[in-house]
Amino acid sequence: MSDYGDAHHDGDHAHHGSQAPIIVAAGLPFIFIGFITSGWLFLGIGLAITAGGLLVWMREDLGFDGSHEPMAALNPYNNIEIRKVGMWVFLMSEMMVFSSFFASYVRYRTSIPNCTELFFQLVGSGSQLAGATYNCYEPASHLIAHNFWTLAPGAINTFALIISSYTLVLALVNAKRANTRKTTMWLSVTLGLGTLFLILKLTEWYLGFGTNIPSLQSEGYMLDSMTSGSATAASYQWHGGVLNDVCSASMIGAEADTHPFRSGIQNSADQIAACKHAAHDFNMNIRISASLFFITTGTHGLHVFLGLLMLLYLIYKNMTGRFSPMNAQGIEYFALYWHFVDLVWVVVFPAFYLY
Amino acid sequence: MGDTHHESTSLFKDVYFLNFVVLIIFTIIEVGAVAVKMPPTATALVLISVGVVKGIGIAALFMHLKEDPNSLTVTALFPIFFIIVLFIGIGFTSPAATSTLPAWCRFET
Repeated sequence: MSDYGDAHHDGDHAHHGSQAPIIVAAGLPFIFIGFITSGWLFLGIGLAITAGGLLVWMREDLGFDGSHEPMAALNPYNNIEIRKVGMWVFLMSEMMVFSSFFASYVRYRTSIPNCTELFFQLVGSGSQLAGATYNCYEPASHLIAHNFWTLAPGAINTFALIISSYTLVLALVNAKRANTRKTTMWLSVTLGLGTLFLILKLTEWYLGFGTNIPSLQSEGYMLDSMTSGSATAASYQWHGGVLNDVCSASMIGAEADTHPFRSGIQNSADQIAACKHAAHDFNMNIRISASLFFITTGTHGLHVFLGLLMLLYLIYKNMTGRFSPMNAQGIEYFALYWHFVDLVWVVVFPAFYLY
Repeated sequence: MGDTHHESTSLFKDVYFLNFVVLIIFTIIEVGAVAVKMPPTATALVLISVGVVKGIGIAALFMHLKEDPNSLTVTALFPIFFIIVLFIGIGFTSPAATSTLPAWCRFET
């Protein structure tokens, strides 16, 4: 590399860059092609190349004592660590990935009618609901934020990520003070919080917890909640807490006296029963909303998972005494990635879980 | 990273700890804003405001952009141009927008 600084990079110890990122970058397209085409051969080749690249990277990093940290010598990054600049450029590309998800989210959220609003609109206009399937946007927040228990996993995850960001700062502080024991402890706490995040994510998606926290899958909120051109058997329907939410007295009472569930009925219990009866006939195609939710939160979850793998490596490196005040910046660069994952969640949580 | 922040023995003089506390408090406000039933526009405003504060706290302090050279902040903000293009090009288009595209850039079904 020609743009390394000069002062510390003389002799055989100078860092000469790594081929590992190029190897990893060569492997990743195979993985993506394998995923898209369900081609196991491509997936296997991609994973093998990527894993090989990561092993090369790991081997190089384990032997790096930090005494010859390469510095950029060209503007605008003059005298900034090259690895830090590289990490920021990487994060810049990550920002683009998540921005494309959010642009899609805004596009569909604003252009497809909301399922609850459409339901009341159709009932109000006297439409026959049974036998048809309606394309509409059912935000996951409708299933998640309607009560304390269903919101709990997402809310706990938010706190877990923020706390893990701080514990990572503490790990870095202790690494710079050459306190190996405390560094391991704080890295392990970060690992634990990241693991908790994924466990709660699985709980929310598939597992559920008791009767109070049904999984999104058990609520019918899935990628295939309606297949194009087929029968309505796979259509999404409100039930449980969401149905009660749609047909609550406050929802119905918010409408004018001419509301279909109020006309001729004085008893709110009867209005709610009539609403639930109508909702039973309301079949929804919510694939777009479910896709956006699972792809965005799934990609974020994948980043958390990759972060956990990197944390395991950092813990191993620290426990084998390879971190010192001289080369603790390895933790700092990882922390940039981890904080970015936290930053993405700052947007994902309100957009997909609360609003 | 500025080591000077970590020399202090008092947690409450540590900017990272204070940032952590602020993030926790704002997250509580965020969740509370949904628990308290408000008009959707008001809820969205609270969520966006809280998100901006939390985002600045994480980027400026936890990610050290406040201490690091401005060129890194510019690097971090560089994608915003493309993000604006994405939002205008995708986020605010109508569902029928793609059907008005010329044939050569449409998927034929």
